[in-house]
Amino acid sequence: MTIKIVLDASVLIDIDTNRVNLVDTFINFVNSKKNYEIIMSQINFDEVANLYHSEMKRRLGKIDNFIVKPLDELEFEKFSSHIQNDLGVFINKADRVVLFQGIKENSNFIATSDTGFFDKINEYRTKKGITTNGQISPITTIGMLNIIFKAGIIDSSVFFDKSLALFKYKEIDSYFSQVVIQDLKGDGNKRNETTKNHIENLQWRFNFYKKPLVDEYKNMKRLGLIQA
Amino acid sequence: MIDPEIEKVVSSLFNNEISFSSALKKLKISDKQLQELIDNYHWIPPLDKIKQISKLENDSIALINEVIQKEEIKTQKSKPKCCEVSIRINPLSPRESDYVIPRNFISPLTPVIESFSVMGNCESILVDTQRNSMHAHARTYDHGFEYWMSGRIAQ
Repeated sequence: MTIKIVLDASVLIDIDTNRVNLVDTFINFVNSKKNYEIIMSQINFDEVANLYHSEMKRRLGKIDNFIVKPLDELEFEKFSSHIQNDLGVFINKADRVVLFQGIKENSNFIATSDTGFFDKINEYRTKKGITTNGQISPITTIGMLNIIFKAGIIDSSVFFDKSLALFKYKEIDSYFSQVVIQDLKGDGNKRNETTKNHIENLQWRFNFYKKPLVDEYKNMKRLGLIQA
Repeated sequence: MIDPEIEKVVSSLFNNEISFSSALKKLKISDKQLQELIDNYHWIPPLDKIKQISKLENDSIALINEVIQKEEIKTQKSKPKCCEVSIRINPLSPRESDYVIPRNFISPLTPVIESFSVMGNCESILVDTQRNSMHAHARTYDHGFEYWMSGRIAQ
């Protein structure tokens, strides 16, 4: 069985940041695991700026199971009209293209680091009554890292290290830059309440990163790879 | 920079609080203009949704574990059941050395190495799960001897 993963540009941007630096790992994964197809729409691939990511894009362009597909404009227009008018699902164009590609390719997963888009994929699945696991199931960059780990490309120490690096250098940054600043307006009481909410939510986000690591640690202990 | 009043209406649309036609009425703009706003809007889910999204992400991880594990087991079945296992020699007690098994070889179907002993420096170990055996190509550099050793695998 070929596992198809449609990528949002945000995932490639995440892995090609200096402090996270997962490019070699990702390329190694795509190169050595030919039972996976990683698919991007041309529009999304172009979103990954040449200025900062040209080397990664050049290397990915040489791998046969990393596939960049041109957008079928006519089909895309029909799809856009359907999800807005019939389903009432509103998504911006760049993300809509990713969802469209995921459906068109009958992909198992759609990977994005954008929580808003993640939620919209889920909304689409709910409204279409899609309950099959592994049919356009949304995953995040941490999910993508988990796949690479489960496929045996990296060992547990790299998995632990990179998961925490993603939380430290990407999650906290994007959370504060996108969410907190715009909400920290108003009087002192309102600010305190907002701050409390943000702390709680970031703790929830941390749990999402922590759980796979703790589960894996327990699994390794069960297999006797770690001494108690 | 989007006008805060317009932003509020588009955000309500994304939050499923109002319909497309209500948004048109509130903003008093054309269909095409509203579509452009939707196409370029970066929606941030409200705070109370983040907990829900985090839970969904955890479900996705559980799904990945399920799907990928099945896939990896299938891949293993179709390949020769051999893998290289590296070994860390304990110089004080060579017979009690540690094995390091590649991560992709560990699955519920993977046998666990039960016992194995090596003397001297070991270059590589080959695990053959079909024959339930394990062989080591060991070499004692000090004396120039070379020999093979075997171990047991528990299913």
